[in-house]
Amino acid sequence: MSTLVLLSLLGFLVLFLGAFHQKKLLLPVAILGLVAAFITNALDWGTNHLWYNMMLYDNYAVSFTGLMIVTLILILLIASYHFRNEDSHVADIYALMIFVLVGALVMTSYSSLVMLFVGIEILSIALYILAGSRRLNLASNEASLKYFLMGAFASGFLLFGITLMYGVTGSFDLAAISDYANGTDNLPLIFNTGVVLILIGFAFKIGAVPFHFWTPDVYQGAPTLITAFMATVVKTAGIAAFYRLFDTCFSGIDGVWYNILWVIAVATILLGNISAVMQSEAKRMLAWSSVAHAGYLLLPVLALNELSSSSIFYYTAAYSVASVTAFGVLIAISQFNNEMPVDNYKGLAKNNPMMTLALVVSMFSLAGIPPLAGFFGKYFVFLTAMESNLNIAVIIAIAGSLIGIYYYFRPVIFAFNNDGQPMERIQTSWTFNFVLALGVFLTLLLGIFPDLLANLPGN
Amino acid sequence: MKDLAWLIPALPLIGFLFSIFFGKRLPKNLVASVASVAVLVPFILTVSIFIPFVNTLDAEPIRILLGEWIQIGKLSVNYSFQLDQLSLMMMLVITGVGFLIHVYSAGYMHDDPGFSRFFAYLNLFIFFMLILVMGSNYIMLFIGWEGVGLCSYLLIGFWYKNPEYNKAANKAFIMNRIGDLGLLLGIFLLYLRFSTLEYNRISLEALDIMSGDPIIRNATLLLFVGAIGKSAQLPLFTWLPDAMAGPTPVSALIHAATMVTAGVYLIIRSNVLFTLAPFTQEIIMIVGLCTALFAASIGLKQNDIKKVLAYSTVSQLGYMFFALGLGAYSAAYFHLFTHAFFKALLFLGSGSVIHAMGGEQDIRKMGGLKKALPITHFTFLIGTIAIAGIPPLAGFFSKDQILASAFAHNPVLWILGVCGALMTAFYMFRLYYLTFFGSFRGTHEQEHHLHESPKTMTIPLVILAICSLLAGFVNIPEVLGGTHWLDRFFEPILAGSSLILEDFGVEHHLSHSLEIILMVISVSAVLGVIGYAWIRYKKNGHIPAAEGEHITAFEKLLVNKYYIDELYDSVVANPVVSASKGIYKFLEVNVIDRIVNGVGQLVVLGSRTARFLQTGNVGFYIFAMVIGVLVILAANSFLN
Amino acid sequence: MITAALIAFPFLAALMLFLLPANAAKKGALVATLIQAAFTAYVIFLFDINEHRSLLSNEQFILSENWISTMGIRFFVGLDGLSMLMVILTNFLLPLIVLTTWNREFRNPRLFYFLMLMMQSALVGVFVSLDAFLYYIFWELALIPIYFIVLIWGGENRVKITFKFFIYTLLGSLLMLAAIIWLYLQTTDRSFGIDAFYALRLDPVAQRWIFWAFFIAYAIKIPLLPFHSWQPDTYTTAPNAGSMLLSGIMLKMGIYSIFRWILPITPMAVSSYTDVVLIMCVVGIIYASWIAIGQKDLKRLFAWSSIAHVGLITAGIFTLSRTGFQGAMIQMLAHGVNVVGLFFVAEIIQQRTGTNEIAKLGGIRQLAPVFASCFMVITFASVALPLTNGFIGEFLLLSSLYDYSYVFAAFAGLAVIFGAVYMLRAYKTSMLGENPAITVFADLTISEKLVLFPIVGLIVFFGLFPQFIFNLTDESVKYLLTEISNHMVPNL
Repeated sequence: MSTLVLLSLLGFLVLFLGAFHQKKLLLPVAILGLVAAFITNALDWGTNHLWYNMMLYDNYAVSFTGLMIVTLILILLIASYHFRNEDSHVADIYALMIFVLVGALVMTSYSSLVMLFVGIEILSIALYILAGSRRLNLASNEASLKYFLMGAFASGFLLFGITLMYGVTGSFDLAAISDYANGTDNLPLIFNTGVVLILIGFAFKIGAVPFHFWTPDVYQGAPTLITAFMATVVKTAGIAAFYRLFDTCFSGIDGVWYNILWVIAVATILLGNISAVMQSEAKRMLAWSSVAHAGYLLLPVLALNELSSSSIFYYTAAYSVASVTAFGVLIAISQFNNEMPVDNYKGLAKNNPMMTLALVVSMFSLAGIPPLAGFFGKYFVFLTAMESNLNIAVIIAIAGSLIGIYYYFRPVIFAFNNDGQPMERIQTSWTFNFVLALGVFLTLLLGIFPDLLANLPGN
Repeated sequence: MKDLAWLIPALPLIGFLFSIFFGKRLPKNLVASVASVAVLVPFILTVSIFIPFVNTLDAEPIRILLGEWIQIGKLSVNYSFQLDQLSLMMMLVITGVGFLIHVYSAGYMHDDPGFSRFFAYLNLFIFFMLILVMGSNYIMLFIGWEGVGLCSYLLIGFWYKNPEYNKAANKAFIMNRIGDLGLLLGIFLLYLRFSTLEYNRISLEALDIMSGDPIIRNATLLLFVGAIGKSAQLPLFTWLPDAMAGPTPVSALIHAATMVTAGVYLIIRSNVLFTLAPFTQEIIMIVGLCTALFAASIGLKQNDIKKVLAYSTVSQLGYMFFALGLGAYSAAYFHLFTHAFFKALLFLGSGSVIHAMGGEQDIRKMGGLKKALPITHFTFLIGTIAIAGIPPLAGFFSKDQILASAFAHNPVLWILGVCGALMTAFYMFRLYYLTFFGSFRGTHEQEHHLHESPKTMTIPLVILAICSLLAGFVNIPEVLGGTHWLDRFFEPILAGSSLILEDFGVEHHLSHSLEIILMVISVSAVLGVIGYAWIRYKKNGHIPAAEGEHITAFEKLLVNKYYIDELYDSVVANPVVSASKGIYKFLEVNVIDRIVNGVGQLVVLGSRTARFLQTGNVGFYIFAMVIGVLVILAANSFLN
Repeated sequence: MITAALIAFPFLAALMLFLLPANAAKKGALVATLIQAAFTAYVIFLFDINEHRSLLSNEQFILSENWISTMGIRFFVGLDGLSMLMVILTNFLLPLIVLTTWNREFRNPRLFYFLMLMMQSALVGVFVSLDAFLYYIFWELALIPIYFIVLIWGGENRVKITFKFFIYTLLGSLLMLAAIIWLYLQTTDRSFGIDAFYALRLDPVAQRWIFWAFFIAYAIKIPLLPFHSWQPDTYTTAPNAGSMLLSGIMLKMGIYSIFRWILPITPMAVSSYTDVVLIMCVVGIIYASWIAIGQKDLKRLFAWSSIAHVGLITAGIFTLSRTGFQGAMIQMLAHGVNVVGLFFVAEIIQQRTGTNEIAKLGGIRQLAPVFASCFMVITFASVALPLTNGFIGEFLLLSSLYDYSYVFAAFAGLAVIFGAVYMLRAYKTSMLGENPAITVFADLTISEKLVLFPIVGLIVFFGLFPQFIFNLTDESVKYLLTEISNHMVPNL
């Protein structure tokens, strides 16, 4: 709880700093606040603290919250470089990001459908604004609008699903719902419909087929930093919430939603990867890749066994680190123009060895090449899936990751392409370099010693 | 002495290493003498081991184990030698004739830049040839077998600047490879049947096998394929005439006296098996006879002095296989033995002629060399008489023994055999007259450059001539008061076969009177032919038609060697190459590779189409989502 | 511990390279590989053949540390004769391969030699891993450096070719990964240890799936028909050092893995698919050597001939006979040595004349006799002339094949003839004759001699004394054969 309060306060504080033009203090304050939040959050470890049947701070919640806080810290460190010569409303952006985190936090720790919805809305509304935060940029505005329209649409389904749940079970409380679900044999159609509608809502939030349409456009339109934010924190929150609900409530009744989700997962993996292949826009390519990753993340949800939560956590962690690094490089090479074709990477290697290393490591990690974190994540997910005999799905996922190689390698190949004169040295801030270095380090560390995270969140 | 047997192959090897590594920097005489000594000493050693065998007939073979080579489970192959009557006789020829040819080469190759390389290769050849005949198992034989192939490749292409010679070298090696594959498979089959490859154990175990056993039949056929390749029998003979591209001493040593007879050695070595396979023997006999006649007929019309000798070699080898097919193993060896001498003599003689003619090989450009090259002429004459089969020279006895056993088998075979002999006599004397008699037909500078060859070349000629005179006496038949010494000497080698034959009671002997008659007929016929050659080429001074001159179709056929080379090129060589390109273009590029790339292109295609869904139009997105929702809900209610 | 050190040393050395100035990287790499070779020699000296009965019973070289304990993943390595052979191959070839690059200046040499040493480390890792997961990691790790070596220093349209190569091999690897995970889920104590895998008794149907999942991965790596289409392009475009790594060592990963991972785990599937595989191999042999005849580029020709050779090796393995196994062992070594020699010959010609197109060459024999002679020895080794290393392997493999079926042997034997045809043709056209276009062709430099003379020496040495290799691998071979026969019957 304290974490939640702390973060909300932090958000306001940052806003005030902005109002009083204390630009210098913004970053330090935000970082310090997040670190503090991380600590308070860590203190909740093991105390399965239940807050009025509304929030449950179990280790699951704690782990994901911690992950998201860390991710946000990294993103803010990049942000300071990204916005280094933008004077106006940087504070608002920081604040909004923090508010998004608040929403995400709720989404990972809810124990009542109401809180779930509240969390999703806190997250979404702030996000709509962030997507449009580059006011003078048409693409950015369009992205914001699209996101809002379709987000509203999806929230509708989610809400409808929740109400149906309530109608059947007479409660928003997860425990009650799961008792009902596991208690009653042959559940009423209306209940299943509720389940499926909620599933649809989540599918939208994590951008799974056929509710993925917003992802590429929004990701591309939004400022790159926000895209990174959406690809990591938001996606993590979405899948965490998704799994939390289905694990607690509907694990006993897989028959109904199982097949639907199976199709969705497989379709997401395939479409995400296949569509990414022909993208000439780096950002759009990453957007599609994030769709594909959502697909992989659905496999453990499908499998729903004792490994699932760990594999989801590990995968999101690996994915977040790699994505932040990848987006960081992208930001650096395509300074301020929002147009960033893949061949921007051309000739990077010659004069920017460190950045090239970061690029190679992050891309390979996303592609799932050993011994990087991304590989172990994939392995973990496949293992979880095969544990529940999802062999076919795994084979398809393998095909998907093969296709993935194609677009993940293109930037790397461009980077080492030496015809034409190489890119000159890119000036960066130390915070930025720190993030890239940390990203590389973590990706390798987690890849070689997955034990560090593989047991989280435990139970 | 037998403890030193390992030196026999070792010394030539050392000689090889010596001249290959240091030869370039040392004076030629030194290199030549080292190389020659490296063969002479083995000759002496061989003789010293040989003598006890002569004194005590059917002495036990000496077996020497040098070390193990491959030892896997029950498969065991050793570096080991077996010295018995057969291998010793072979070694005598190899080292003896080999030594003479080394000496000869010292003179012949004297001005060649590759002098030391030449002797290195010669030594290496001697080494491998000795391994071939000394080995106590089929693998050792195979080592030597391919090794001599290598040396022949190196020596045929010795003048590597000439693309024609290189082609000939490749041709020789590859054609031999075809045979070698047969031999190798044959060896595998033998191993499968006997689970050993040692001669003595195989020939022992073979005695309990019924004649006509299919495995033995196949094995012997495969071995024979190997022999065909190495000994230039039909249909794999075309490499041998081309092999004349090598320096003449090489032709004498490798392509007349020793290497090409390896096939004969192989079959005599495995005589028990072949005796057990009458079918194979029939095949061998037919192939041998055909080769003998076929090659001889080609020889009638060749104008290159070495080509004539080459075809005559093929034809003589044919005789040997003919004999092997008849089961007359010792006769075959006898012919091998005598042939080694007179054919080496003839080649060296021709070499001396070519030397004098400054590299000219076309007999139409020679003539009247009698005066200029007295020694060469005289020795060449002896060789010619010997090969023509006039008593009492070597060729007569050996050829007669073959013909005799042919007659015993079937008179028709005898007649064919005699025809071959007649052709041989004709083309040899044609060669002889055209070369040494009549007026000189070469250019002027050739004419006054004519000279007898140096001692190093003539002395070997003389020695070989003497051998050609006497070699026949090792196996004089009873009818001529002889003792068939060689047959007796070989009895231990052929004991197995004769045992088997006794079981069948297949024993045919000609009455002495009949033998005499046959001899008289064949010899007088030969003399007749020689007379005809004398009239045609000496008395009338007939000169073969020059290129482009009109000749009858049949002559054309002979001059062009029945177009066999052209046939092989168009039927085998070219198709293989063009097929290779074809396979690559169609199967590889258009099928396999296209399938692989196709998969990739499929993905790209899918990606392109997937992009059309991403219109950027919110209305469409929402529409699509609604569809999705409806489908899911439908599925959901359906599933319940 | 020793075994781990064999992996660790090249890895550390690779990192050290970045401490050196760029122009010293080459020397550094050479020194490192030489030390590693010396170290390997020491290990051989420690390695007592009679000591170790089976893979797992020679503790001397086994190291088993928990790595990812939650998933039963261990850092589990060991050495038996088979692994030892491969380690020898890798660590003794590497110095030679580094030497082949002596006269050549690469841009960014540190990265180049770094990748080379990384690859060495990964290769050794593959050959000594006894934990399936660890093995897989190394398997992939070996792929990354060579990918970059070819991508960065390769010839024309390297991007396309390397990409195809990478995707193709990764396809196989991922299938294998799925199979490994599946096997892991079957083990009683949830372990990736090879002992646990060997203890599995799978039902025939499962064995078939697993077999193909593994076999395709290896068939692509080796490569066998029809999974070969990445190979000729890659070998041709790769810098020669890369081609040597690929063909000399890396493809042996596939062959080695058949021994280590397929035969004992899915023996029933193996025996039921023997004919299929043998047909693949034999057809491949003829197909490849036939295509080789028509090749115009020296490197391409060597690439195709390599396909033919490895096809024969694989065929020998699938006869499941002692001779076949031993033949494969010795032939892996021989092929490694010879192919390095051949690609180095191509490299020298490329450097001197600027082309590898056979038709454009010729007349080199008279200008560079020593070089030509070395080339000739290697040529005859690769056409399996007796008393060269090539013969031993080919002889054993063919005879084992003959035991299985004389038809296969006869067809595979055609390669003996074809081999002579294309190799001699290549040698003749490129070395012999006269060629006005090539007037200067310097003979071997010291560094080149230091590569080619040892190779020639090895060719003759192994041709004369192959026995100690057989002694080295004999125990492993027997162990494998017994493992196979034990597993033939599943206890249901």
